Amino acid sequence: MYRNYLKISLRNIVRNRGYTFINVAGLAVGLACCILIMLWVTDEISFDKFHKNYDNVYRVIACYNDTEQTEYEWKTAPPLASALKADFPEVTAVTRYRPMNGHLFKIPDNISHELDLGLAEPAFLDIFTFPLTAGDARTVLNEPNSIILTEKTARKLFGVQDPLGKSISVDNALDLTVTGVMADVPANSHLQFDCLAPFVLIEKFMQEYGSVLDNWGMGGFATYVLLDDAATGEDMNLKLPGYLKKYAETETELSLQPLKDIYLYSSHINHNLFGNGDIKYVYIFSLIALFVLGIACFNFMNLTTARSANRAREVGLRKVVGAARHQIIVQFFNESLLLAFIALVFAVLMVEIFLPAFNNLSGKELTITFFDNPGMLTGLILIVLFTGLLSGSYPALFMSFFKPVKVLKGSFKAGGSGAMLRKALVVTQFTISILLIISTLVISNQLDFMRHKKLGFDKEQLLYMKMASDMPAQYEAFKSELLHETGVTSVTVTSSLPTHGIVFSTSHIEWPGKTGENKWLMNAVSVGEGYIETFGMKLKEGRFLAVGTSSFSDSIREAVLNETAVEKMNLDSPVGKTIEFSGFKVTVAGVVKDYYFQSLHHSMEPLAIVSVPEWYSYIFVKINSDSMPRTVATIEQIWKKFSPDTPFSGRFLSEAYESLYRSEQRMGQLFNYFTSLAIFISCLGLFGLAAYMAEQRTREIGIRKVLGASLSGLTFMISSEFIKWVLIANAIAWPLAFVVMNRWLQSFAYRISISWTVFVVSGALAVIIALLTVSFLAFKAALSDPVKALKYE
Amino acid sequence: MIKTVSLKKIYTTDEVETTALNNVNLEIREGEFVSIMGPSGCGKSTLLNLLGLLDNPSEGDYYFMDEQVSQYSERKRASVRKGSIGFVFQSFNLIDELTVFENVELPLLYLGVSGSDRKKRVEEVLEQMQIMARRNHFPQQLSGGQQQRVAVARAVVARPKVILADEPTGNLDSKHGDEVMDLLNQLNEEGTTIIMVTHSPSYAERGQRVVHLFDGHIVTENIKDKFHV
Repeated sequence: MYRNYLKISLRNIVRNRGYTFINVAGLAVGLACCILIMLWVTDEISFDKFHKNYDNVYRVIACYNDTEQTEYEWKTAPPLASALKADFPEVTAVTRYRPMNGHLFKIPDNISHELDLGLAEPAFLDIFTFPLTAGDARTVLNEPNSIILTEKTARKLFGVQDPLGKSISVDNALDLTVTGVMADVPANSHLQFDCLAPFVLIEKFMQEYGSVLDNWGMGGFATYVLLDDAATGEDMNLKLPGYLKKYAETETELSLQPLKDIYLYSSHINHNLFGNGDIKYVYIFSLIALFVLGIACFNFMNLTTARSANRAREVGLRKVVGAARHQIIVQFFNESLLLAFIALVFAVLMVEIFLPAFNNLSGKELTITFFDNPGMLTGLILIVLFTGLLSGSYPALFMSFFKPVKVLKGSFKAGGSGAMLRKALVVTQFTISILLIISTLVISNQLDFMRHKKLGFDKEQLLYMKMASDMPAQYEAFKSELLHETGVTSVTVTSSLPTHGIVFSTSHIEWPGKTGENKWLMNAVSVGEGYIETFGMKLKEGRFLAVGTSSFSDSIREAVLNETAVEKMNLDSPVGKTIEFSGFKVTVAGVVKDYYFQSLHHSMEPLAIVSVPEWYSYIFVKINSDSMPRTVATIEQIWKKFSPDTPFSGRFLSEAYESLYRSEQRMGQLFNYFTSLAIFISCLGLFGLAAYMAEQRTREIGIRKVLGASLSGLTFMISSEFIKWVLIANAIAWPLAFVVMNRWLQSFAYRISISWTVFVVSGALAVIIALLTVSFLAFKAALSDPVKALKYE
Repeated sequence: MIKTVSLKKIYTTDEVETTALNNVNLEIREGEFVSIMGPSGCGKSTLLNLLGLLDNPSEGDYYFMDEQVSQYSERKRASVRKGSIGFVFQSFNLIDELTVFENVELPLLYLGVSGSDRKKRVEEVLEQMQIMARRNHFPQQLSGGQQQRVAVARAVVARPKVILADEPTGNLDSKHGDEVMDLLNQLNEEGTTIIMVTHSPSYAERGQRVVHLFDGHIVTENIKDKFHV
């Protein structure tokens, strides 16, 4: 029996090549999208699962109850880790961790490499599963001057040599000895580093702060705890309120975030130094996958039921010779499953072809493996079953109802409820397509808006480079040589990039007229001479800092505040007032107009600009627009003269801004592609349906032509039917898109309001695409010879 | 084996009610060859559909093999139909996507006959209809007469008690029409009950009895002396 079903299915597939093509192409593209998104989602939700203690590891999160909203930070004080271990018996291990990105590593007689270093305690290797390939996990991090390299880093620095016992200099200031080599950090780990060194080294990196390790006033360190099997983070969270009061005078509260939430559920956490996913995008893309596949299935249903008249006789006949209804249903399900399976083969081919491009776009390294990955295989089979059953469901039920008496007479016309459902499906398809078009437009508008938002300073023609370790001593000489160049307008030095926030923040602030406890954080950046000129900010009142003091405590004597800080402190005529800032008494020298010193995901925050030479990390050079490439080359030459060991890392700030919104841009681009595919599949279906309807209406068209209808009139008549559906789809999609996109925009501190033009443009686009799809067929049908059409009947 | 009592069929569309059959009483015995004649729209095909259990009557009783089947559900009708009734249509109604062999095999598939038995029986009946040579052809590669012979083969392959033929010669020229009629006569002589709707008086004469329908009523029944119980 099944052979008979298979035979007739295959013969039908071959006989109706056009419809088969539309069905299979639509399903294949839909399945391919689905598989790609499934790969992406699987990767996103696989983060950190490779750790043996996946279920028992937590990160400590600090919550600051700001007056307006609660702020969350992963940064905690250094002594917290040991305190937690001592106070809570369920905490079996703790480690502090600090990412130190972009330091210069050098081995003798070799060039420097910029690498990401992680500072961690020995327990780090017990808590997390980062297996060593050389060295003893119990001792590798014990010696303060030890360092563990990942295999990739070891190859980069030492080639084929055995790195164990070799010495590496960091920033030309610190000499470390390789004590171990570890397997490369998996791509799906929220912790990413090229090498690990003992946490105690933090005091060497932050010498200016004095004793860091037992200072409850410091922040900036991640704390991870391992709980025993019996304990849960939720139980422990109940014990944490007020806990910090035991050690410090603070309103800050702690909570534990499970390791399994860190990657996908951390978008609310400030100053995230870790690469981050977002559960929101996992949902959005899963939904898109479902949409695209749904559209493809609708095509199948539509075309199959539209063409059911052609199969009606067969169904009637099978019933006459003894087929029961369920046998007919089984037969049509067989057919849709067969087509879904054929589509899957093409989909897998497409995925193989487009995976590199998709990886490029999504910034992942996904691979597709079927046979050594049972999960993947099961997933695919389930998708095919789902697709086959969904797309076959309506045709199977619809056609199995055919009465032999009616269909065998030859007077049978597929219509009635079938036609109604087809219209509903086309409207649904276009609703989804229009929804996606509107979303795409809103996303790209928002990205444009962020890219072109006035930042309060001029980010163009600003070249920046990271300070090499031998640079601070030579900075003044380097600067004056740069300023001799005609292409260079001004030079300055800062602690941080405006794309990556601030160097320091504290809630420890006092000011004249302060009442009660302030709950907000004052951010600080350290800048050198020429800052205002180079960045082109506007001073509102007072003057800029007097720069050039010698010692650390001396250097924090003056500050320039931004308008938001003045507003928060409610200071009248702030210039000349003295405020206390993390224990330092500071005179307000001036007020600068608000400018964005961190990404636009943050709203404007209070800022104090100080001048602490120890914090200087980046040199900024403003370049004349006439001769940019030549000037950049000259700057590189001068750099080489001063710091021959360090590769020149000059980069334009505008590029840094581009990469700042890369994750949104990636999402935007992916969205673009999937939207185009969804529209493509919808149009395939529309084309098939239009072809069928034109065929059905041959007789009507013939009669109308005989009675004198014009070509344009007929084309319009056939096309307008479809346009009506697209217009209905618009009416449904617009309010839906408005609600959805407004919610998406909420995640941006600075956002566009959705303009009505977006809706009109999307609607018009959908109508035009639909019109282009059907008008050709409508025109062809209108052109046909009426005599033939009427004879044929 | 077939008996109808006051059979009535009314078709209802949105606004119009059409009585296709009214008060039809008919008895057909096993082994009979009955022709049904009448003008277009007199209810011949409706009657045949009711007799063939493709449809239920609106009123009246229908006994098929002494079983009251007039209010059977589609599922039950299908199971009675299967194996007991064979159909031959004016427009052949072969499935274009299946070969001659596969078309004839279809009823046996739904009866659940095993593969080897199916092959034997299909080949037997194809031999009998003299279209064995065409077994692997598709319907469209055959002439009308050949197609109707395939259709007859399909109707008899399950060895039904009754064959219902709805204008089996309507789409054929006289030569092919004669051939098909010869086949039906041959089947009747072998014991199969045949009920045939036709427009052709000469073909109708090939039956033992001609039933004339007019506006849904039986007007005359000519019982011919040829009929012996």
